[in-house]
Amino acid sequence: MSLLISATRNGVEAADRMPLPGFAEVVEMHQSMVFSIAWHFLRDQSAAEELAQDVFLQLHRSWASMQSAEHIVFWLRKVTSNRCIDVVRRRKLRHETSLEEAAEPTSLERIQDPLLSAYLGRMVASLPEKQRMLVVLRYQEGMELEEIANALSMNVSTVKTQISRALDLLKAKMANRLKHDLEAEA
Amino acid sequence: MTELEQQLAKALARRDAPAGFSDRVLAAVQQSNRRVPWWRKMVPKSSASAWRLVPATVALVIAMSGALYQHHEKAEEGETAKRQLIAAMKIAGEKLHTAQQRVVEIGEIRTNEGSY
Repeated sequence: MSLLISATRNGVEAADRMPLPGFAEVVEMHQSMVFSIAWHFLRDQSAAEELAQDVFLQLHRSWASMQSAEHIVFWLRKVTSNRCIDVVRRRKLRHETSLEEAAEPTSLERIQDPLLSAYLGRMVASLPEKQRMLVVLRYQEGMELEEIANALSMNVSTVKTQISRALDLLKAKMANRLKHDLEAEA
Repeated sequence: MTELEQQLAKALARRDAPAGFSDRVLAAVQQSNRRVPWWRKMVPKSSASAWRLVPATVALVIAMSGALYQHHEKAEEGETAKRQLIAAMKIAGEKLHTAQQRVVEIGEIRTNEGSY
């Protein structure tokens, strides 16, 4: 009987499981993922590093309950996301730079791709917490809507709606900025 | 995928963790493993040190037993005294009751004699 890949509720695919790697290997393998989620969400190098370190320490404490390599990835994304949202809510460390507060991008940002990416990153950081995390998980991690819904304990339809709203907001912000730039140039 | 989504995927590309990050995590894990609760610090690590604690422990146990025994004795004495006091009060009460009854009886006899 062939093994069927069936997504379970917690996002672990029962079949297709890899043997559990060692803790050091897991840190090496996933440090970039955890750090990047935290960095794109918080836009603060030291806060992101501290949070990522705490996530791995928590993973070490919960190591006995890890069932597979996939479970570890799911767990890391879930815990990192929740901790990021908690940090922002607790410390009121809002990096919600409104369009007006955002650093003035130069007209070059419309031309040079790396600068556009940096600008877009700042715009993402200006989104409300939940929407920001949804966008990070969707476009940094390339997660499916259902996976995001499982990780953040949300409905799939809510995830879809919130991402759509976030994209609309980003479009509006970009359009507004472009208008400002054109007016400045004129 | 729209153009904006493609740009987002680029903008939100994974970044490398800071240099030495994994080493710091592993060091922090070792550090947290080494952290022992306060009561474990009281327990000696070598068996020689443990044997040195035996006389002190025995003395402590004897002293505590003595104190407990004394406390128990005092409590027992107190209970006995209480019981004796209650018994004495009961006897005195009964005697008083008998005397009162006798006085009433004498009073009634005298009243009857007077009426004849």
